[in-house]
Amino acid sequence: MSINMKKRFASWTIWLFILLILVLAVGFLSLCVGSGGFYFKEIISAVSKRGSPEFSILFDIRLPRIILGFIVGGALSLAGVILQGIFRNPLVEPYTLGISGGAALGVTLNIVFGLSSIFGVISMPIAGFLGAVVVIILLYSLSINKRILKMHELLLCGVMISFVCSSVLMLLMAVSKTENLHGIIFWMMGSLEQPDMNLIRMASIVSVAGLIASYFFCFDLNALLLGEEEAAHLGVNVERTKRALFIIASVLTGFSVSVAGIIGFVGLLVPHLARMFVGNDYRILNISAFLLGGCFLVFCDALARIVIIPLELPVGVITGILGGTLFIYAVLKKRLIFG
Amino acid sequence: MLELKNITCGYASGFTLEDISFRLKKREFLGIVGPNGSGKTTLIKAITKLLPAKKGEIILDEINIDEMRFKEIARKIAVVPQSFNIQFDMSVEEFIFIGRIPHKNAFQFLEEKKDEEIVDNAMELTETLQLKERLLSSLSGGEIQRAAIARALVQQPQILLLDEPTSHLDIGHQIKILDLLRKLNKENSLTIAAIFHDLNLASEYCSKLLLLKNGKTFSFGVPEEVLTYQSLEEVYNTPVIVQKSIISGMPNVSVVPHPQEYRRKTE
Amino acid sequence: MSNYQLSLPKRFGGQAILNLRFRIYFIAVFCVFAGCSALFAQNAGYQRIISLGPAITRQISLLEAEDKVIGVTAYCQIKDKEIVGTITNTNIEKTLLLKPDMVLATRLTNIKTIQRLKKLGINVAVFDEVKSFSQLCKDFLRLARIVGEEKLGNKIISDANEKVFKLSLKNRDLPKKKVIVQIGASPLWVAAKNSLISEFIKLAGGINAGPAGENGLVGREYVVRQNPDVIIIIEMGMLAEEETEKWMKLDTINAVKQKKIYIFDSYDICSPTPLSFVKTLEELSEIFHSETE
Repeated sequence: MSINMKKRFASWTIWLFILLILVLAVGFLSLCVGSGGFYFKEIISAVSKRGSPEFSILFDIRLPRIILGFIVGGALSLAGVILQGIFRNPLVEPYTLGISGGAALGVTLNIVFGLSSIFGVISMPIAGFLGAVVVIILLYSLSINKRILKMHELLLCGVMISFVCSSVLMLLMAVSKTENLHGIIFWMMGSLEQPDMNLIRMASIVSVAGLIASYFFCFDLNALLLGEEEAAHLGVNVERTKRALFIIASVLTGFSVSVAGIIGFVGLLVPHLARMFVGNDYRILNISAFLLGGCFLVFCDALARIVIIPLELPVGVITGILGGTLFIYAVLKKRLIFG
Repeated sequence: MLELKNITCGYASGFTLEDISFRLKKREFLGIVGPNGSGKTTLIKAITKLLPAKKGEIILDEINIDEMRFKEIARKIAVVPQSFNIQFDMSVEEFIFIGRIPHKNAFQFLEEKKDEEIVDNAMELTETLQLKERLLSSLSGGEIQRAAIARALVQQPQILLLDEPTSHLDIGHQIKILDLLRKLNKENSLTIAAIFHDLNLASEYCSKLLLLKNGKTFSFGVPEEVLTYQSLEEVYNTPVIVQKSIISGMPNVSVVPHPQEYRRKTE
Repeated sequence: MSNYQLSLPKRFGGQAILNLRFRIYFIAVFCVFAGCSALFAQNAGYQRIISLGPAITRQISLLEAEDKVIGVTAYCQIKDKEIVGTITNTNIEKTLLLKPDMVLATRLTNIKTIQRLKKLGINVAVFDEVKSFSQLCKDFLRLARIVGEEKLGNKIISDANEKVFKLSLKNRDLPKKKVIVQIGASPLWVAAKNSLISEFIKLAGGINAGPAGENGLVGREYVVRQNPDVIIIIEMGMLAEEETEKWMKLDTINAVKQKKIYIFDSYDICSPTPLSFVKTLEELSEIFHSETE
């Protein structure tokens, strides 16, 4: 019977291999695509011409976008997979909990009060992250009771906070100046365009750290599949696991949102896609969701850049439409819900 | 093997188990019975330390469970819950393998041959080998119960706790499951404590019974001692008739339907 | 011939020194002349300019520097130029490929685009929203310097200033009319007191009856209470005709009674050049100070 085990291990390895190839393929495809317009053959020649605008386009414009796409796509998908695990609810995603609402509010306040002129351009992502942190702390304190994190309450609070943030956001938009409005809307539409390499580096570190941290809890997450009590009966410290994973997922989300704006659906769809392909074992699910999420986002970004060339659509539009359609397909395939 | 000394524990809502004491010896098959809300499930939670004890102590293999970590307890006690609420469908094999988690070493990432053998063994014992690749959502009640027992068995426990293992099953499957438990108890030396709704099944299969009422021990002993019509009428608040079973000689409880009519007739 | 050799230790005097003196004088005069020219000549300005705002493009046309423009937005009114995007959405790759030496951005250009261009080593000049006539002139001069037409710029400005001055003199003693300028519908948005439009009205001899500050999100009742003598509706892609009809129903307003509701083109009011500014002022002045129809 050990053949079964070897089969499983082998299939995981193959799957990881496929994912890595997919990462390279999507990355390369994305590198070839853009409003500057050139394709495969021209890339080879462009790489050699250092200092030319073509080289600059490839390495100063497209490459950072692709890197950020993998980072943010991976972070959001991983957060989604983790949250679905601790909430035991297939509809939970990083934005359901209102974290993105908090970040949006932070950024809007930053724009409305013109803090960028005082603190520089870095104030935008910092404001976004602070907004996310405020929501996270609020959620946590509202749902923790005698050191027990009530997931049901957490979810409800999250949804409510999300609505409240949207409304406050609309209030701010109604009374703000027109030029501010543009800034707010731009940010909210989500974009992988980020000129500050330091931010991209920071986000990469956080993202990968989150992935590694999640692996300390992969067995706990597997046990949680059966239920919170059942997991406790299997020796899992359920409260500590929930707390730690909640924080990991929130930090991943907060960082992603503050660096790239609101890019929806990735955190909801990719975990389900990953589950469709690899099953529920979190040992393979975490990394699969991470890599698949990155590929998905980079692919959507590439689409966003060629659909109405020479104009660019916001990447959130593509993830929404493509993500939504794929999600409906996945649901119809019925592997999702038990019973 | 397992001893509860004056255990008092409860929920924030107010319900409390009070002053529960009993001893569960090795290879014992204990049946926990009592009316709804008498604290049966609460007792199981107390034994596995899910619910902390406000007073009293629980000794497992001569060690106080307060000093044991959850993982250590999980290697000694396995619980089969009444039902599962699983959001993400999986195969029976994956499901059973999850039971090996308490035995994972610190740096072990993949299952070892040992794990596979234990899983296969458990599936053989519970006759679930043929269900290996099937999805949980496609199983019948009886099959799920057998798979759940297999999952608990791979924890290699010394004590198996079951919460109403037969409540959702038809009589055929009820006997099947209980025969399985009996086999595990007698042939594999597994100590079992199970919550029963059906007093007759408890009477037939259990070596000892614990009768609870309102969170307190009403009586503890062999079925003949515990299942008397006086005790049962007081605990369940309804008239019963207790006779000896023709087949096994164990007490057999019969309910009296619409008792007011009978009372009027005898008056 | 030792006459032409400069020997420093010798004292001034004699023929050799005469040559030296002559040489020194020549060099000195030349330096002064060159310095003066440098001071008074205008620089050539940037030669490969991309404009990301229709207002800027319009002003460049006014400065007769269209040949220096190599890229514009889809909304700029200029012929035969490469299009690099819209007012809010710029195609960075295309911009880069055009190899500009200066990119002119507006307040509406995506901040990240500006950051990215600067990081790629391209000069970017940002033109803020114009809030007053003096700012309009200042920005216009700045633009003139960038395109190397400082002299023409100065001339246009002084012309405009003169005309504005004359107009304000003319209107000084005439009665001031209350004006409301509508710049948005659904929701209703009027020009507030702190805006460029307010300045238009003031200089043309009217009083802006809009709210104080910069936010003009008021209700129709506000307008009714203010009871303006003139209502101006800015045609900004909205149905100005429909709005006119909505106002006509509120017949307690003076402007409605006297049928003084006018529709103005948004281009002139919202993206003015010094020249168009004066023209608009003259039109407004007409409206404010003519007799009722």
